[in-house]
Amino acid sequence: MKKLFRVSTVAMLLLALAVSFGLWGCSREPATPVAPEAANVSVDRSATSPSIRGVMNVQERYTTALMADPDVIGTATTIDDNGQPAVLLLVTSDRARRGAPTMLDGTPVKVLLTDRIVAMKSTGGGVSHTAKQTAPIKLGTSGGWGYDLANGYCCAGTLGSLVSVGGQKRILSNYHVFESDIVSGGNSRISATGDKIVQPGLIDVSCNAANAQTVATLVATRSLPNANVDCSTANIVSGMVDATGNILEIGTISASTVGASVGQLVKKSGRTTGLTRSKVSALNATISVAYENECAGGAAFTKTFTGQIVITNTRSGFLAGGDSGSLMVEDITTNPRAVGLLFAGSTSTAIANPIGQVLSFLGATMVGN
Amino acid sequence: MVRAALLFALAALVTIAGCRAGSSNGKGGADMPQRDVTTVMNAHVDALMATDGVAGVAISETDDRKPCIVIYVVQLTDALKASLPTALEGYPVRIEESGEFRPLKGEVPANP
Repeated sequence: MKKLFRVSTVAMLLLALAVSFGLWGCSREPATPVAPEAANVSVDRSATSPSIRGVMNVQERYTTALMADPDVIGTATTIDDNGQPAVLLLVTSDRARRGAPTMLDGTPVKVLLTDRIVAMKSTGGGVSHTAKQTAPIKLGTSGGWGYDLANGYCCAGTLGSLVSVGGQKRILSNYHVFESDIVSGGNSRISATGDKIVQPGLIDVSCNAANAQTVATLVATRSLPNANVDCSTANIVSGMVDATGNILEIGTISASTVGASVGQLVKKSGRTTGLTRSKVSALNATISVAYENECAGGAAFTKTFTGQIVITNTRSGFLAGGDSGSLMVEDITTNPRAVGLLFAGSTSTAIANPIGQVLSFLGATMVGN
Repeated sequence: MVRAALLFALAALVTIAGCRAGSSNGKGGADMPQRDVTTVMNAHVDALMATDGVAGVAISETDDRKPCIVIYVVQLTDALKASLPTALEGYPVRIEESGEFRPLKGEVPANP
């Protein structure tokens, strides 16, 4: 009995040791809890940082001499592969690439072999997302509130898509594109139901509404600041909007919608960046966004949204200022399903309201096939 | 007597293991997840959003497609990085410098 006790006690001790080390192992932090790309982001990359200013000075000092070579077509200040500020040299031949200096006054030089740079008037396929269209207009185009001019500035966004509310077809865009003027302030006007919604938006007609066309009339719903969506709609003026809901460079969409998933490929058609593609990088996001009380106005409120969709937006390549109101759809060719309503972001990240929440708030359905 | 000593040793081992597991909690804890990632994020989101410099919190996946929590910051400083967790209840945390989130309306001067 005593021997049995000793054996079982030793076994218990060994078991305890194993459990202890097991717990210890589990308690360690993951090997790479922080994404590798985050490791270098503490470098101040703003144009006002002393290290960037220093490289810009070097760049300016040598640009004339460097561009004396016809195959050197540009210089810039960049961050090299080691995360350090560097002079960027754009060259069009392998000869120029091989002959480029590796350092200038102690500053590293990064060389990029590129094609000749040409002016690009429109964003793709010869389709303009800012021009005044011949009615009936397609969506994914410049537009906004017809009176969005205040404080020496005019504002606009994107007429994104078409929805149906009680059998009535309406253009879907954002609250902050159609109806965020909530003070008399700089234009002695507050947005209200019945106000004209114009195409293109004022920013594309030299801030002169007379050069745009009225395509819809606002149905003010004031989704913000209370609701969890930044949306607004406008009743279409008969004959002014393609009733199939056709979106520039996307075409017609599906009447049904689909939820977002991490890694999902998506696209959108918007006023500023045109047709662009990206992927969903995160879900269920809680984010805070600050709103103004009119175009170029004062602070109105800061809204904290929950359950939002996050999309990769490297160097604003997917979404930029003026694209607000664009509909984000799955990246398929025929009748893609809507995923989200794009409304905010930064130079690295875009944010969309889940389309289901938007439609639910409005009591609407997508116009599509 | 022997039995008492062994029980004491066993208790000591368990205590040591528990302390070790708890020692990472100052940075958020990295034990095996006990709750689903949405519940964990919801439990911590208010505190994270109250941290100066945090612009957002979301759920994503690691490179090997395991759930993780993303914290978006306006500017990633050493001090902010040190104040944020590297894991929350067993889920790895990824910190991304996003800048501020703004409504993406276009705005141009009326008389350029």
